[in-house]
Amino acid sequence: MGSRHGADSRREFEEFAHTRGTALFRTALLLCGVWHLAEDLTQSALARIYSSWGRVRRADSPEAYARSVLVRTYLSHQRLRRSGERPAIGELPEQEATTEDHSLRITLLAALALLPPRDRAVLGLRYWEDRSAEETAAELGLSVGAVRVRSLRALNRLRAQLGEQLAGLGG
Amino acid sequence: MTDPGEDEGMDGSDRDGQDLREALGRAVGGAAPDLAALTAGAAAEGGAIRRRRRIATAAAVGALAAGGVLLLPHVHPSVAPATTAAAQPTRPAAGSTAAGSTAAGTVPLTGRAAVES
Repeated sequence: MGSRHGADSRREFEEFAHTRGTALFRTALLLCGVWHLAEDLTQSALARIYSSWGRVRRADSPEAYARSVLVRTYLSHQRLRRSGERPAIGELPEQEATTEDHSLRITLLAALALLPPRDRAVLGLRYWEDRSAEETAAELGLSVGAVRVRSLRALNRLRAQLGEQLAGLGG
Repeated sequence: MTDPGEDEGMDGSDRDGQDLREALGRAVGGAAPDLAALTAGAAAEGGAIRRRRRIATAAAVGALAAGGVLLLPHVHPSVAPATTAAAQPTRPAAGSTAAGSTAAGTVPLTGRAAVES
């Protein structure tokens, strides 16, 4: 009985991980800018989710919970490391990406890497995950005003670093 | 009344936001990790977290239970009385001193007085 429940639980988790894993990984890649670190972050976040799977599957939105765990894992990792690891250009695989998109990724990730971790998280949640300022504030434990200020500041810094490239990046 | 400068700034950041949204989509939209490896690794790591949590909980419950037995000996009759008695503060045992052979309210005689009486 117990082992059957465990097997069911694991199967459910694996389904969830296969459905949401890629999106989580892409968010992690935007946050940390390094492919192998993004894989580590995604795996750590999924591991935490699996360790509390009984609670997560009953949550209103397991996806939102997973994203929140990922962002917290990233911020906690950044606090521990206290170092500014930069994207290692040679380590970015060119999976399913054209040369143009690959160079775009490098340019963008390098610019994002210069931002403070929390600002990167704000940009990732707002412009990649399409979260509102209120949702972003709730996930990061910030006020809505702080999210707006960080967002504006980070966008200005990106614009200063990338100049006209930012407009061109959108294609 | 709206500040035109603020309007311009907001429009600019909205445009930047839209540019960034599209750029992010193109930059990482095609990134695909090895999901099978990630999932297997996460399940193994998550299982280890569960085991550690279970062990920690069991240890905490055990410590609480042990503490409870020492503090409340009557709750657990299987514990030897000698064990709990040893933990109690010392006090004179009934019948073990001269007080046991004297009448209530009298002081036992010692030394010469005891010999002469």
